Amino acid sequence: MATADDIAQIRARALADTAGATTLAGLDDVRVQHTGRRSTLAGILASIGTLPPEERGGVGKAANVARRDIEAALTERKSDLEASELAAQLTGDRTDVTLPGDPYPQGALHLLSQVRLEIEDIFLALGYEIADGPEVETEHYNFTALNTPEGHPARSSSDTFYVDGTSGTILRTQTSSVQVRVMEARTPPLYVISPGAVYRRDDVDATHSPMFHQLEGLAVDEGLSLAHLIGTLKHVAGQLLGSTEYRIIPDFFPFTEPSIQLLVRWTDRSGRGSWMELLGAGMVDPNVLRFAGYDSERWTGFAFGMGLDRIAMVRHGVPDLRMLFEGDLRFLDQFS
Amino acid sequence: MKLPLSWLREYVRPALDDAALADHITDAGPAVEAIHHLRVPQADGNLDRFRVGRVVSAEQHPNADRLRVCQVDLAEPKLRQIVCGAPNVAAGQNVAVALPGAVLGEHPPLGDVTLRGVESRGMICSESELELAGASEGIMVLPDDIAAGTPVAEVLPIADTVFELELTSNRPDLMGIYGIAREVHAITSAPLAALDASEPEATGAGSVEDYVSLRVEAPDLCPRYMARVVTDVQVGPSPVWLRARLEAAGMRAISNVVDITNYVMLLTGQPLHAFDLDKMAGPGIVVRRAHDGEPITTLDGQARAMDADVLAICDAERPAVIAGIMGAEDVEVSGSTTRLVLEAATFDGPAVLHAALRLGLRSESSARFEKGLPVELPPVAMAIATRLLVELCGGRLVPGTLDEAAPAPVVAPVPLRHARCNAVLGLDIAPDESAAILRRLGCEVDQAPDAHEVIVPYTRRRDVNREIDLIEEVARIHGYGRIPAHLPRMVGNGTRTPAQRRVERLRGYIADQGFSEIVSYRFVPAGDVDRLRLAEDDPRRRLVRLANPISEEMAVMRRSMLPGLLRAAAHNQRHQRTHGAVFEFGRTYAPAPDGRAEEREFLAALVFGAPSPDHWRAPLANVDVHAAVGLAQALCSLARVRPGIDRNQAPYFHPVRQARLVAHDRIVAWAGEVHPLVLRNFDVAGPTAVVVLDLDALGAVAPIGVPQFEDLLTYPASTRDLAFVVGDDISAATLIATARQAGGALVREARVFDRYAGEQIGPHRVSLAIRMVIADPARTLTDQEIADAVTAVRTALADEHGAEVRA
Repeated sequence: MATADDIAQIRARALADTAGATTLAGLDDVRVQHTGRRSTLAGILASIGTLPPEERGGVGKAANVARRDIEAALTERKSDLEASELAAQLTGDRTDVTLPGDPYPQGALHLLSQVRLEIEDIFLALGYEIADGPEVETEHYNFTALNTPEGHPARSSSDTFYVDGTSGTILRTQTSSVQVRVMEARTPPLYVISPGAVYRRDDVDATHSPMFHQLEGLAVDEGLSLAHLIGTLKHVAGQLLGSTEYRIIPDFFPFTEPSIQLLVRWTDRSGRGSWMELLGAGMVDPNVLRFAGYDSERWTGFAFGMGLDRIAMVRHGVPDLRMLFEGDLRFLDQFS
Repeated sequence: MKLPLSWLREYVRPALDDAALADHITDAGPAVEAIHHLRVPQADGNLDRFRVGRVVSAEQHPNADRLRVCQVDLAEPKLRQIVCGAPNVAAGQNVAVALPGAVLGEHPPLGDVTLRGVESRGMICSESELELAGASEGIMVLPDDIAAGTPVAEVLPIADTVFELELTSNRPDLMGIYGIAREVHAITSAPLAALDASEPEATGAGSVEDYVSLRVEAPDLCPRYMARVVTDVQVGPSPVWLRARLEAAGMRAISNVVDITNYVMLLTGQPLHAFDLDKMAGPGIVVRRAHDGEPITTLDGQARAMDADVLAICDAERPAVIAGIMGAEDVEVSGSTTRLVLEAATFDGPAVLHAALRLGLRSESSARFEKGLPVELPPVAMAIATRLLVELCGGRLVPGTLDEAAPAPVVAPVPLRHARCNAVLGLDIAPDESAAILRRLGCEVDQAPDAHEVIVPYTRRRDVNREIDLIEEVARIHGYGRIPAHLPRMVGNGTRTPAQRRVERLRGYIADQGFSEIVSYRFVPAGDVDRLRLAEDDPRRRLVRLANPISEEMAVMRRSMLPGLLRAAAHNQRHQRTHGAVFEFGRTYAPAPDGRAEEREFLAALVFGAPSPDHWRAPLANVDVHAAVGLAQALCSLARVRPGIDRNQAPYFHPVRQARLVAHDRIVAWAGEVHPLVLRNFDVAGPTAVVVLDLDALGAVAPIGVPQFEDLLTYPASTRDLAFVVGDDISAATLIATARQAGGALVREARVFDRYAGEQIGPHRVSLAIRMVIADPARTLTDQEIADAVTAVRTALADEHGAEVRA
């Protein structure tokens, strides 16, 4: 008959076998051998009923404790073996993580788009809208309604592209033509910008192009003054170029009076500072307001225009205007 | 405009150094673009080392035939010994001496030297050494009445500073030194000296009518014509001061007579012309339009043909001057001229510009006339020029002046309301200050409590004739830098329109797919329609043509987005980029019935060249029509448009590898591979995939408003996959269309997800696997309902397309 000593021996052997198992399969054999239905321990537990009543309690308790201990040791050993098997398996998954990652496409917006979007956002935040107009335009909208009379040098065929077989159809020389269309279609107050391509009859070189891009702005409201124009331009220069130092000098445009030019202090990559012509602007000429049917005593306005190509070149250190129009990926992808 | 400061200072002397003066002028008037220093360098007291010396003796050099040893009095304790190589040096002369340490041009400073054994402590200068003349013979001899030791700079313009001014077209008054002097006076308040326009004594014989007559036949082009006759003129070189001024101002000295007309033009802004009376055919001056094709040989030796838009100053037989532009060789003032006609006139500005452009001939004169000059100016210029002809050329002015002039315009005062001025500028300027500014600008100002009444000087009347013009004058002289900066209080919209947002969304998306944005010239060669293989009768051959293109390469407005993309591809392939992806947003232009253009907005994208393996495991992208269709679909779906796909036929695409995407009966996009012949025309190597998105059409069919919720969550959807074998002439789109129609509302989605062609199904047949999603948002479908829907699709495909279900 099993004694407490026997049970202790069974327990000790089972624990030793459990500790000695090195694989999950081996451990399973140990489990079957020591806790399975045919194990000695199971036999002892099954035969408890045959013992004299006074022995049953002692043997039964000892056998049950031994079984609990063995099962706990098996569980612990199993999770240890699983962990080390997983670790071994993961080690086998080793790869060179320094290889290039999978490629994700990356294109680029054109510099002109980037600059335009940035400037648009500055004006949108001020409450401006964005307007658009035709590029093949009439002399009326491009010149006459902008106080530029017949015979003005800007209207000559050496400066302006004319469309063959038409009378007075041109390629717009300035986005200011959109001003006229907006004023014609709407009543003040107006706060509008209009970016777009414009055309002048310049030969192609590093700083000239027969096609370039402007962004025009127009505000018409009650009580607008030159101080408001200057405030607006100063704000834009600061937002766009981080430049707080500005200078205003006189200029001349047929459709604004007074007319000014805004220069901002610009430091290039080499650290050289200079005054950069950022934009031309002025108070909308009363003739232009009257042309649109506005009461020029009640409404005043200001307009401004800037060259996007030049701003892009200066800001990004692009040395040659032609690069903007060649579509060379070595150039374009630098600004992605 | 070149402004020699030495000349400016004759009229106004602000107490500012050159740099500060340039800043002041730029801030309130014309921009100073550049500052040049002429002749003898001015730094480090260099000018003090040039002194007038009297040659006391000039002896033959003991060891050199061609050198003289001079003893020169420079008001120093001892005479200075200078060796001189000029043949004309002689005792008793006043000369310009450069002392040791003096710097000339780029040379190192002069030193004490020994020439052939004789010590020389300085240099006697020639005109060319002082850069007063291009070439000169011998040393320059100065007038006798200058004291020895006087700095040369006090008697000769041996150094000057020149401002290069950028003038705006509204300021022809600044094309004269005196006009700039008035501007500097207005800006700096430094006193302005008067312009001496006094008349010389007329000592010539008879009166002007005895020599010439005048008839102005085209007063519209010539509002004023004045002529005088000067006799006994001795033509020769101008004095040094006059030549120095002309050259500093950027004009070449020619002869005293011509130089005087140029000098007075530079001073007053009024061009003048002198011609030889004795070379005229008959004594009558006729101002008339030229005849078509009428020849003239101008002073530059060029034979030119005029036309009726060109005004000519003629003698009895032929044109003597192209009015306002250039004179004829025939009547040119030459060394033998003794009697001359001096012309001072006003010509119509636009007409002069037009003629100058027509003839391809611009001059200092035309540059001034074309901006429009006042009729009050010729008498002033005439007086100054005749006085100089008398003083410098020994001329005798014949009494009388021929003067044909339109009546002088009535001068009305312009009011300037103080309140308006301040409202427009956004600051307070006291009436006394605005009055003072306007007076400095030459205006007469009548001050009243509410407004000034202002008479503008004739030199500015063309540009300043309204209240707003006066406000600008006050603002700029007061100083733009003193105007405060405020943002307007405003209530604006401040958003992009849905269409603008859509465009920017598309732009960002396609860039994120690896495409790079290009901007190409909108003008292209007319031959692009051939390069695109458009048929002879294709309406797209009708182009917006430029009347005055820069070149044949930029002659017409583009009608297609393709050439710009293909040229970019070719450019990159020429530079070792065989594969790439580019896109462009922009317009195409077609002639419109009203003489303008129909401008349509497109997004076009091109993938060019076969991608080469450039990654250790990523698969290569496809470059073909299916890649193009997929991109087109993705772009459309950004606008919530889901177009159907159709075959397409365009001559510039591969004949059977192109498609169009149609939504609500509008073509929203085209996708395809470029035709190999078109690729050849543009020098591009394939393969290619092109997408052209019609942004206007897309906008027209894009749903308006925000998407509304649809319940795809509550009830399950069933997916059924079936493969159909059909003839390979049946397109996937046709099959899907039939399936959708047959399946009805329950078939929420039907699309081809696999395709097989090959041995297993035989030739000219294709197996298309269709995935159907079957659901009802309002309930769970029974198995029978699902099976019925599938059966309906199978039956319809079998009946209409002979499709067999593939086992």
